[in-house]
Amino acid sequence: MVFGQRAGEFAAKFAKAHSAGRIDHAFVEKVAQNALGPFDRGAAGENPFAVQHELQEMMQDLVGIVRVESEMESALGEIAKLKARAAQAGIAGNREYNNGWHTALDLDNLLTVSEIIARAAIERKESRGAHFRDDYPDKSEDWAKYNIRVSKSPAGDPKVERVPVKPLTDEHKQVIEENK
Amino acid sequence: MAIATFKIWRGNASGGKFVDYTTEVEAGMVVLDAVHRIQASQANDMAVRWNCKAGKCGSCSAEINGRPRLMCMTRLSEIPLDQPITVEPMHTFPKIKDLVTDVSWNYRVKERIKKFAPKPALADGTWRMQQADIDRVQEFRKCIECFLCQDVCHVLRDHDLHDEFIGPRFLLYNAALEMNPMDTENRLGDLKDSGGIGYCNITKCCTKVCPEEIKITDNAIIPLKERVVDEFYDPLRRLFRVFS
Repeated sequence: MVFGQRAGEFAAKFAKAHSAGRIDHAFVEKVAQNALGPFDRGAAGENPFAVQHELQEMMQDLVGIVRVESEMESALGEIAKLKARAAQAGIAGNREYNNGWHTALDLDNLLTVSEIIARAAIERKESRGAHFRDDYPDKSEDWAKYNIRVSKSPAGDPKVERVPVKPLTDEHKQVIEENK
Repeated sequence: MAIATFKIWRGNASGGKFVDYTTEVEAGMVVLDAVHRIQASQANDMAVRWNCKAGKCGSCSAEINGRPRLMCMTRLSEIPLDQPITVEPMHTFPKIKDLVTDVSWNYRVKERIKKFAPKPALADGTWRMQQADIDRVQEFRKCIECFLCQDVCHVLRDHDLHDEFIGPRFLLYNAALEMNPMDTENRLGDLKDSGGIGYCNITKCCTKVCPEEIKITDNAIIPLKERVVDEFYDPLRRLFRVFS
Protein backbone atom coordinates (compact mmCIF):
# COMPACT_ATOMS: atom_id res chain seq x y z
CA MET A 1 0.00 0.00 0.00
CA VAL A 2 2.88 2.33 0.77
CA PHE A 3 4.46 1.74 -2.63
CA GLY A 4 1.11 1.86 -4.39
CA GLN A 5 0.40 5.26 -2.90
CA ARG A 6 3.83 6.58 -3.83
CA ALA A 7 3.58 5.20 -7.37
CA GLY A 8 0.15 6.76 -7.82
CA GLU A 9 1.22 10.10 -6.37
CA PHE A 10 4.28 10.48 -8.59
CA ALA A 11 2.55 9.11 -11.69
CA ALA A 12 -0.16 11.75 -11.20
CA LYS A 13 2.45 14.49 -10.74
CA PHE A 14 4.30 13.37 -13.85
CA ALA A 15 1.11 13.22 -15.89
CA LYS A 16 0.14 16.75 -14.83
CA ALA A 17 3.55 18.15 -15.64
CA HIS A 18 3.80 16.56 -19.10
CA SER A 19 1.52 16.60 -22.12
CA ALA A 20 0.49 13.36 -23.78
CA GLY A 21 3.24 11.69 -25.84
CA ARG A 22 3.00 11.60 -29.62
CA ILE A 23 2.29 8.22 -31.18
CA ASP A 24 4.66 7.24 -33.95
CA HIS A 25 2.19 5.65 -36.35
CA ALA A 26 4.90 4.42 -38.69
CA PHE A 27 6.49 2.55 -35.79
CA VAL A 28 3.14 1.08 -34.72
CA GLU A 29 2.62 -0.08 -38.30
CA LYS A 30 6.07 -1.69 -38.36
CA VAL A 31 5.43 -3.56 -35.09
CA ALA A 32 2.07 -4.77 -36.40
CA GLN A 33 3.67 -5.98 -39.64
CA ASN A 34 6.35 -7.84 -37.65
CA ALA A 35 3.74 -9.49 -35.49
CA LEU A 36 1.90 -10.76 -38.54
CA GLY A 37 5.10 -12.03 -40.17
CA PRO A 38 4.61 -15.66 -39.03
CA PHE A 39 1.35 -15.83 -41.02
CA ASP A 40 3.05 -14.55 -44.19
CA ARG A 41 5.62 -17.34 -43.92
CA GLY A 42 2.88 -19.86 -43.09
CA ALA A 43 3.37 -23.49 -42.14
CA ALA A 44 6.45 -23.72 -44.37
CA GLY A 45 8.39 -21.46 -41.96
CA GLU A 46 10.33 -22.60 -38.90
CA ASN A 47 8.22 -24.41 -36.29
CA PRO A 48 8.08 -21.93 -33.35
CA PHE A 49 7.62 -24.72 -30.81
CA ALA A 50 10.78 -26.44 -32.10
CA VAL A 51 12.85 -23.25 -31.76
CA GLN A 52 11.50 -22.68 -28.23
CA HIS A 53 12.25 -26.27 -27.23
CA GLU A 54 15.81 -26.16 -28.62
CA LEU A 55 16.46 -22.86 -26.82
CA GLN A 56 15.26 -24.39 -23.53
CA GLU A 57 17.46 -27.47 -23.92
CA MET A 58 20.50 -25.47 -25.00
CA MET A 59 20.22 -22.99 -22.11
CA GLN A 60 19.78 -25.86 -19.66
CA ASP A 61 22.92 -27.53 -21.02
CA LEU A 62 25.21 -24.52 -21.44
CA VAL A 63 24.01 -21.80 -19.03
CA GLY A 64 22.47 -24.06 -16.40
CA ILE A 65 23.31 -24.69 -12.76
CA VAL A 66 27.06 -25.17 -13.17
CA ARG A 67 28.51 -22.59 -15.57
CA VAL A 68 31.81 -22.40 -17.47
CA GLU A 69 32.98 -19.52 -19.66
CA SER A 70 33.63 -21.66 -22.74
CA GLU A 71 30.14 -23.21 -22.60
CA MET A 72 28.49 -19.84 -22.14
CA GLU A 73 30.44 -18.43 -25.10
CA SER A 74 29.18 -21.25 -27.28
CA ALA A 75 25.65 -20.57 -25.95
CA LEU A 76 25.94 -17.05 -27.41
CA GLY A 77 26.73 -18.62 -30.79
CA GLU A 78 23.72 -20.92 -30.49
CA ILE A 79 21.48 -17.99 -29.52
CA ALA A 80 22.57 -16.14 -32.68
CA LYS A 81 21.67 -19.19 -34.79
CA LEU A 82 18.31 -19.58 -33.04
CA LYS A 83 17.63 -15.85 -33.56
CA ALA A 84 18.03 -16.32 -37.29
CA ARG A 85 15.65 -19.28 -37.19
CA ALA A 86 13.14 -17.42 -34.99
CA ALA A 87 13.04 -14.66 -37.61
CA GLN A 88 11.82 -17.32 -40.05
CA ALA A 89 9.11 -18.70 -37.71
CA GLY A 90 5.93 -19.46 -39.58
CA ILE A 91 2.47 -20.55 -38.56
CA ALA A 92 -0.69 -21.83 -40.22
CA GLY A 93 -4.21 -20.68 -39.43
CA ASN A 94 -5.43 -17.28 -38.29
CA ARG A 95 -5.17 -14.94 -35.31
CA GLU A 96 -7.99 -16.65 -33.41
CA TYR A 97 -6.59 -18.30 -30.21
CA ASN A 98 -3.50 -19.50 -32.05
CA ASN A 99 -1.02 -20.87 -29.49
CA GLY A 100 1.60 -21.37 -32.21
CA TRP A 101 1.44 -17.71 -33.18
CA HIS A 102 1.77 -16.66 -29.53
CA THR A 103 4.86 -18.86 -29.22
CA ALA A 104 6.32 -17.31 -32.40
CA LEU A 105 5.84 -13.86 -30.84
CA ASP A 106 7.36 -15.01 -27.53
CA LEU A 107 10.59 -16.20 -29.21
CA ASP A 108 11.98 -12.67 -29.52
CA ASN A 109 11.68 -12.07 -25.79
CA LEU A 110 12.91 -15.54 -24.84
CA LEU A 111 16.03 -15.07 -26.95
CA THR A 112 16.66 -11.56 -25.57
CA VAL A 113 16.41 -12.79 -21.98
CA SER A 114 18.61 -15.81 -22.72
CA GLU A 115 21.29 -13.59 -24.21
CA ILE A 116 21.19 -11.19 -21.25
CA ILE A 117 21.51 -14.08 -18.81
CA ALA A 118 24.48 -15.55 -20.68
CA ARG A 119 26.29 -12.22 -21.11
CA ALA A 120 25.81 -11.19 -17.48
CA ALA A 121 26.92 -14.63 -16.27
CA ILE A 122 30.08 -14.45 -18.39
CA GLU A 123 30.85 -11.02 -16.95
CA ARG A 124 30.58 -12.11 -13.29
CA LYS A 125 33.84 -14.02 -12.82
CA GLU A 126 33.10 -15.50 -9.42
CA SER A 127 30.54 -17.78 -7.74
CA ARG A 128 27.86 -16.07 -5.69
CA GLY A 129 24.52 -17.47 -4.51
CA ALA A 130 22.79 -19.38 -7.29
CA HIS A 131 25.39 -18.25 -9.84
CA PHE A 132 27.98 -21.05 -9.69
CA ARG A 133 30.99 -21.03 -12.01
CA ASP A 134 33.18 -24.07 -12.30
CA ASP A 135 36.05 -21.88 -13.55
CA TYR A 136 35.71 -19.39 -10.65
CA PRO A 137 34.37 -21.53 -7.79
CA ASP A 138 34.96 -18.97 -5.00
CA LYS A 139 33.16 -15.86 -3.89
CA SER A 140 35.26 -12.77 -4.51
CA GLU A 141 35.41 -9.76 -2.19
CA ASP A 142 36.22 -7.56 -5.16
CA TRP A 143 33.13 -8.63 -7.10
CA ALA A 144 30.94 -7.79 -4.12
CA LYS A 145 31.58 -4.13 -5.05
CA TYR A 146 29.82 -4.37 -8.42
CA ASN A 147 26.38 -4.98 -9.82
CA ILE A 148 26.02 -5.94 -13.45
CA ARG A 149 23.71 -3.78 -15.48
CA VAL A 150 22.53 -4.84 -18.93
CA SER A 151 20.94 -2.17 -21.07
CA LYS A 152 19.93 -1.79 -24.69
CA SER A 153 22.70 -0.20 -26.75
CA PRO A 154 21.77 2.24 -29.54
CA ALA A 155 22.43 -0.57 -32.03
CA GLY A 156 19.85 -2.69 -30.18
CA ASP A 157 22.11 -5.39 -28.74
CA PRO A 158 22.63 -5.74 -24.99
CA LYS A 159 25.35 -3.62 -23.40
CA VAL A 160 26.92 -5.15 -20.26
CA GLU A 161 28.43 -2.84 -17.63
CA ARG A 162 29.83 -3.12 -14.12
CA VAL A 163 28.18 -0.59 -11.83
CA PRO A 164 29.74 0.07 -8.43
CA VAL A 165 27.41 -0.85 -5.57
CA LYS A 166 26.37 2.27 -3.67
CA PRO A 167 27.93 2.40 -0.19
CA LEU A 168 25.56 1.80 2.71
CA THR A 169 24.07 4.94 4.20
CA ASP A 170 24.45 5.55 7.90
CA GLU A 171 20.76 4.85 8.32
CA HIS A 172 21.13 1.40 6.65
CA LYS A 173 24.19 0.64 8.76
CA GLN A 174 22.23 1.53 11.87
CA VAL A 175 19.31 -0.75 10.88
CA ILE A 176 21.71 -3.64 10.25
CA GLU A 177 23.43 -2.98 13.58
CA GLU A 178 20.09 -2.91 15.43
CA ASN A 179 18.99 -6.22 13.91
CA LYS A 180 22.23 -8.06 14.57
CA MET B 1 7.69 -46.28 -25.44
CA ALA B 2 4.15 -46.72 -26.70
CA ILE B 3 2.15 -45.19 -29.51
CA ALA B 4 -1.29 -43.74 -28.88
CA THR B 5 -3.93 -42.19 -31.10
CA PHE B 6 -5.81 -39.11 -30.02
CA LYS B 7 -9.03 -37.97 -31.66
CA ILE B 8 -8.98 -34.24 -31.02
CA TRP B 9 -11.86 -31.93 -31.91
CA ARG B 10 -10.69 -29.21 -34.27
CA GLY B 11 -12.94 -26.34 -35.23
CA ASN B 12 -14.56 -23.14 -34.06
CA ALA B 13 -17.96 -21.61 -33.34
CA SER B 14 -19.23 -22.45 -36.82
CA GLY B 15 -18.39 -26.16 -36.68
CA GLY B 16 -15.63 -28.72 -36.64
CA LYS B 17 -14.65 -32.36 -36.65
CA PHE B 18 -12.44 -34.89 -34.90
CA VAL B 19 -8.93 -35.24 -36.33
CA ASP B 20 -6.73 -38.25 -35.58
CA TYR B 21 -3.20 -37.68 -34.28
CA THR B 22 -0.77 -40.47 -33.49
CA THR B 23 2.05 -39.75 -31.08
CA GLU B 24 4.59 -41.46 -28.87
CA VAL B 25 3.74 -41.54 -25.19
CA GLU B 26 5.85 -42.36 -22.16
CA ALA B 27 5.26 -43.40 -18.58
CA GLY B 28 4.11 -40.53 -16.36
CA MET B 29 2.47 -38.48 -19.10
CA VAL B 30 -0.93 -36.82 -18.70
CA VAL B 31 -3.37 -36.00 -21.49
CA LEU B 32 -2.22 -32.36 -21.56
CA ASP B 33 1.37 -33.49 -22.20
CA ALA B 34 0.22 -35.54 -25.17
CA VAL B 35 -1.88 -32.65 -26.50
CA HIS B 36 1.14 -30.34 -26.17
CA ARG B 37 3.35 -32.83 -27.97
CA ILE B 38 0.85 -33.05 -30.81
CA GLN B 39 0.58 -29.27 -30.89
CA ALA B 40 4.36 -28.82 -31.05
CA SER B 41 4.99 -31.43 -33.72
CA GLN B 42 1.88 -31.84 -35.87
CA ALA B 43 -0.64 -29.09 -35.22
CA ASN B 44 1.08 -25.77 -34.37
CA ASP B 45 -2.14 -23.79 -34.64
CA MET B 46 -4.18 -26.03 -32.33
CA ALA B 47 -5.79 -24.05 -29.50
CA VAL B 48 -5.58 -25.36 -25.95
CA ARG B 49 -5.95 -23.29 -22.78
CA TRP B 50 -3.69 -24.22 -19.86
CA ASN B 51 -1.65 -22.56 -17.16
CA CYS B 52 -0.44 -24.46 -14.11
CA LYS B 53 -0.23 -28.12 -15.20
CA ALA B 54 -0.94 -29.01 -11.57
CA GLY B 55 -4.73 -29.12 -11.26
CA LYS B 56 -4.95 -25.81 -9.46
CA CYS B 57 -5.77 -23.18 -12.08
CA GLY B 58 -8.85 -24.77 -13.64
CA SER B 59 -7.95 -23.79 -17.22
CA CYS B 60 -7.56 -27.08 -19.08
CA SER B 61 -11.09 -28.45 -18.65
CA ALA B 62 -12.12 -30.74 -21.52
CA GLU B 63 -14.00 -33.94 -22.18
CA ILE B 64 -11.72 -36.95 -22.35
CA ASN B 65 -13.33 -40.12 -23.65
CA GLY B 66 -16.63 -38.37 -23.00
CA ARG B 67 -15.90 -37.48 -19.38
CA PRO B 68 -15.44 -33.90 -18.18
CA ARG B 69 -11.93 -33.77 -16.72
CA LEU B 70 -8.84 -31.60 -16.33
CA MET B 71 -6.38 -32.58 -19.06
CA CYS B 72 -3.44 -31.99 -16.72
CA MET B 73 -4.77 -34.36 -14.08
CA THR B 74 -5.74 -37.24 -16.35
CA ARG B 75 -2.90 -39.75 -16.45
CA LEU B 76 -2.47 -41.81 -19.60
CA SER B 77 -1.89 -44.82 -17.35
CA GLU B 78 -5.57 -44.73 -16.33
CA ILE B 79 -6.88 -44.72 -19.92
CA PRO B 80 -6.80 -47.70 -22.29
CA LEU B 81 -4.30 -46.77 -25.01
CA ASP B 82 -5.20 -49.59 -27.40
CA GLN B 83 -8.10 -47.54 -28.71
CA PRO B 84 -8.21 -43.88 -29.74
CA ILE B 85 -8.62 -41.35 -26.92
CA THR B 86 -11.13 -38.62 -27.70
CA VAL B 87 -10.43 -35.09 -26.47
CA GLU B 88 -13.08 -32.45 -27.07
CA PRO B 89 -14.03 -29.04 -25.67
CA MET B 90 -16.71 -28.65 -22.99
CA HIS B 91 -20.18 -28.89 -24.53
CA THR B 92 -22.02 -26.50 -22.26
CA PHE B 93 -20.18 -23.33 -23.32
CA PRO B 94 -19.80 -21.61 -26.70
CA LYS B 95 -16.77 -22.84 -28.62
CA ILE B 96 -13.95 -20.44 -29.43
CA LYS B 97 -11.46 -22.71 -31.16
CA ASP B 98 -10.46 -26.37 -30.91
CA LEU B 99 -10.32 -27.26 -27.18
CA VAL B 100 -10.98 -23.70 -25.98
CA THR B 101 -14.45 -22.58 -24.93
CA ASP B 102 -15.86 -19.21 -23.88
CA VAL B 103 -16.68 -19.57 -20.18
CA SER B 104 -17.48 -15.87 -19.63
CA TRP B 105 -21.15 -16.65 -18.89
CA ASN B 106 -19.89 -17.90 -15.53
CA TYR B 107 -18.26 -14.58 -14.70
CA ARG B 108 -21.47 -12.72 -15.51
CA VAL B 109 -23.46 -15.06 -13.25
CA LYS B 110 -21.00 -14.54 -10.41
CA GLU B 111 -21.34 -10.75 -10.63
CA ARG B 112 -25.07 -11.03 -9.88
CA ILE B 113 -24.58 -12.85 -6.57
CA LYS B 114 -24.86 -10.62 -3.49
CA LYS B 115 -21.41 -9.93 -2.06
CA PHE B 116 -20.14 -10.91 1.38
CA ALA B 117 -21.49 -8.45 3.96
CA PRO B 118 -19.61 -8.96 7.23
CA LYS B 119 -20.99 -8.24 10.69
CA PRO B 120 -19.23 -5.65 12.81
CA ALA B 121 -16.27 -7.09 14.69
CA LEU B 122 -16.72 -8.61 18.14
CA ALA B 123 -16.06 -6.46 21.21
CA ASP B 124 -12.42 -7.59 21.27
CA GLY B 125 -11.94 -6.45 17.67
CA THR B 126 -11.83 -9.91 16.04
CA TRP B 127 -14.16 -11.96 13.90
CA ARG B 128 -13.58 -15.19 15.82
CA MET B 129 -15.36 -18.26 14.39
CA GLN B 130 -15.89 -21.86 15.49
CA GLN B 131 -13.52 -24.29 13.78
CA ALA B 132 -16.51 -26.31 12.53
CA ASP B 133 -17.87 -23.23 10.75
CA ILE B 134 -14.50 -22.55 9.17
CA ASP B 135 -14.14 -26.14 7.94
CA ARG B 136 -17.61 -26.09 6.39
CA VAL B 137 -16.86 -22.98 4.33
CA GLN B 138 -13.28 -23.98 3.64
CA GLU B 139 -14.39 -27.02 1.65
CA PHE B 140 -16.28 -24.74 -0.74
CA ARG B 141 -13.30 -22.46 -1.09
CA LYS B 142 -11.28 -25.29 -2.60
CA CYS B 143 -13.14 -24.61 -5.86
CA ILE B 144 -10.72 -23.79 -8.71
CA GLU B 145 -13.48 -22.66 -11.10
CA CYS B 146 -12.70 -25.21 -13.79
CA PHE B 147 -16.45 -25.23 -14.54
CA LEU B 148 -16.51 -28.99 -15.12
CA CYS B 149 -19.56 -29.16 -12.80
CA GLN B 150 -21.31 -26.57 -14.96
CA ASP B 151 -20.32 -28.57 -18.05
CA VAL B 152 -21.76 -31.85 -16.78
CA CYS B 153 -24.96 -30.43 -15.28
CA HIS B 154 -27.88 -31.51 -17.48
CA VAL B 155 -29.88 -28.38 -16.61
CA LEU B 156 -27.27 -26.35 -18.49
CA ARG B 157 -25.85 -28.96 -20.84
CA ASP B 158 -29.04 -30.55 -22.17
CA HIS B 159 -31.79 -28.07 -21.28
CA ASP B 160 -29.72 -24.97 -21.93
CA LEU B 161 -31.28 -23.03 -19.04
CA HIS B 162 -28.34 -20.64 -18.72
CA ASP B 163 -30.74 -17.73 -18.16
CA GLU B 164 -32.72 -19.39 -15.37
CA PHE B 165 -30.20 -21.55 -13.50
CA ILE B 166 -26.83 -20.54 -12.06
CA GLY B 167 -25.39 -24.07 -11.98
CA PRO B 168 -23.57 -26.10 -9.30
CA ARG B 169 -20.51 -23.83 -9.17
CA PHE B 170 -22.57 -20.83 -8.12
CA LEU B 171 -24.90 -22.74 -5.81
CA LEU B 172 -21.66 -23.73 -4.09
CA TYR B 173 -20.51 -20.10 -4.07
CA ASN B 174 -23.82 -19.05 -2.53
CA ALA B 175 -23.43 -21.78 0.09
CA ALA B 176 -19.96 -20.53 1.02
CA LEU B 177 -21.44 -17.07 1.65
CA GLU B 178 -24.69 -18.21 3.27
CA MET B 179 -22.93 -20.58 5.67
CA ASN B 180 -20.36 -18.00 6.72
CA PRO B 181 -21.36 -17.07 10.29
CA MET B 182 -19.98 -13.55 9.79
CA ASP B 183 -22.23 -12.81 6.81
CA THR B 184 -25.39 -10.74 7.23
CA GLU B 185 -26.83 -10.91 3.70
CA ASN B 186 -29.83 -13.08 2.75
CA ARG B 187 -29.59 -14.79 -0.64
CA LEU B 188 -32.47 -17.27 -0.29
CA GLY B 189 -34.90 -15.25 -2.42
CA ASP B 190 -32.35 -14.97 -5.22
CA LEU B 191 -31.59 -18.69 -5.00
CA LYS B 192 -35.27 -19.52 -5.41
CA ASP B 193 -35.95 -17.06 -8.24
CA SER B 194 -33.01 -15.96 -10.43
CA GLY B 195 -30.81 -18.79 -9.12
CA GLY B 196 -33.25 -21.49 -10.14
CA ILE B 197 -32.19 -23.85 -7.34
CA GLY B 198 -35.38 -25.86 -7.89
CA TYR B 199 -34.08 -27.06 -11.27
CA CYS B 200 -31.40 -29.16 -9.57
CA ASN B 201 -32.70 -32.67 -9.08
CA ILE B 202 -29.67 -33.93 -7.20
CA THR B 203 -28.23 -36.33 -9.77
CA LYS B 204 -24.81 -35.63 -8.21
CA CYS B 205 -23.00 -35.52 -11.56
CA CYS B 206 -21.30 -32.29 -10.44
CA THR B 207 -19.90 -34.00 -7.36
CA LYS B 208 -18.65 -36.86 -9.49
CA VAL B 209 -16.61 -34.70 -11.87
CA CYS B 210 -15.22 -32.21 -9.33
CA PRO B 211 -11.40 -32.43 -9.46
CA GLU B 212 -11.20 -30.94 -5.95
CA GLU B 213 -13.59 -33.64 -4.70
CA ILE B 214 -15.92 -31.11 -3.15
CA LYS B 215 -19.20 -32.71 -2.05
CA ILE B 216 -21.14 -30.12 -4.01
CA THR B 217 -24.54 -31.80 -3.83
CA ASP B 218 -24.46 -33.12 -0.27
CA ASN B 219 -22.73 -30.25 1.46
CA ALA B 220 -23.79 -27.22 -0.55
CA ILE B 221 -26.84 -27.71 -2.73
CA ILE B 222 -29.01 -29.86 -0.46
CA PRO B 223 -28.55 -27.64 2.62
CA LEU B 224 -29.38 -24.61 0.47
CA LYS B 225 -32.49 -26.32 -0.87
CA GLU B 226 -33.54 -27.02 2.72
CA ARG B 227 -33.09 -23.38 3.65
CA VAL B 228 -35.08 -22.21 0.63
CA VAL B 229 -37.91 -24.66 1.39
CA ASP B 230 -37.92 -23.60 5.02
CA GLU B 231 -38.19 -19.95 4.04
CA PHE B 232 -40.75 -20.14 1.26
CA TYR B 233 -42.66 -23.42 1.33
CA ASP B 234 -43.13 -24.34 4.99
CA PRO B 235 -46.98 -24.51 5.45
CA LEU B 236 -46.83 -23.48 9.10
CA ARG B 237 -44.78 -20.44 8.30
CA ARG B 238 -47.16 -19.57 5.48
CA LEU B 239 -50.09 -19.78 7.85
CA PHE B 240 -48.25 -17.68 10.37
CA ARG B 241 -47.59 -15.06 7.69
CA VAL B 242 -51.31 -14.89 6.78
CA PHE B 243 -52.23 -13.97 10.36
CA SER B 244 -49.37 -11.63 11.11
